Amino acid sequence: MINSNELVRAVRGPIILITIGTLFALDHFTPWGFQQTWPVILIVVGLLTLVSRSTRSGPTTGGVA
Amino acid sequence: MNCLNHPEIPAAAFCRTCGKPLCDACKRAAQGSVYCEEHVPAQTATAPPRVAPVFTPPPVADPSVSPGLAFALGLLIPGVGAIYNGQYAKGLVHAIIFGLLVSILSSGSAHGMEPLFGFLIAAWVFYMGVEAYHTAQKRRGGEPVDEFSSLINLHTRGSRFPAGAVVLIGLGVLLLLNTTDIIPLERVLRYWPVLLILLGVYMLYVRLTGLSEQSGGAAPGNVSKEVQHDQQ
Repeated sequence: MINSNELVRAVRGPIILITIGTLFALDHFTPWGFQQTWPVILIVVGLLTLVSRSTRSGPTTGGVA
Repeated sequence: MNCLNHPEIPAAAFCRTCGKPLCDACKRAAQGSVYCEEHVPAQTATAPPRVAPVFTPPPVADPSVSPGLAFALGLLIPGVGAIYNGQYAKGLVHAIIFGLLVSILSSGSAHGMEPLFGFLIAAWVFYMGVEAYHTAQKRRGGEPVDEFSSLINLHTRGSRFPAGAVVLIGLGVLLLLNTTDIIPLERVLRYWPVLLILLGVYMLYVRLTGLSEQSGGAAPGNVSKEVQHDQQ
């Protein structure tokens, strides 16, 4: 619980890598091209930022966010 | 063998550093070993492994920093104001944003939004100058310098609005709708003057509530944050 922020930070890089890998796989094996799907990376980064914010304020309030 | 300091008492241990025989009264336990009085490591020496120096040391006031020069450099050459302040990454980002705005305008891909980008470029040039000025003032006064921006305070934690994350997600959704041809970006961006109206309304709101609450200190940060939010 106290380490949830560290968990999010540790998981951030791999998740972005997986997202990019998935997008390139889609580019190769489906009609969805990378030039169409690249904004997904922005959305994922934004979501991760939101999550890390919520976990960062979590321990100070003592609650489980 | 007896203790060096107390010849009548038998030694119980030896100093790890000098090998001096020590009795129970003279030995000093530290870092899982035994030392004599003069070789025992200071308490501060045991601290660093626990507390890594994450934060930069407090800056020292530098009277040779000239805010005026920083302002001129930041205004005339994109990014150089920040470089003058020793913030190379920030200077690079400033120059890249300036280049992006100019290249969007000059490549003719603004699609009827040339006035908006004209505003943005002018605002960005002044932002770079004023930002370098404020950073230089902080450096001269010995205050800590923000790595992101000396004008927009993004380090307020807690219940503040997560502007960066929301901007990223909104931008991502907008561009995804554009690239998948569900809603073309041109149709959305035609409504950009609405942003000016919203910005004006928001500034009015902040000024009026700020006047009534007498909390003028937080208002400028809010306004400039909203500016950045809307410009996206």
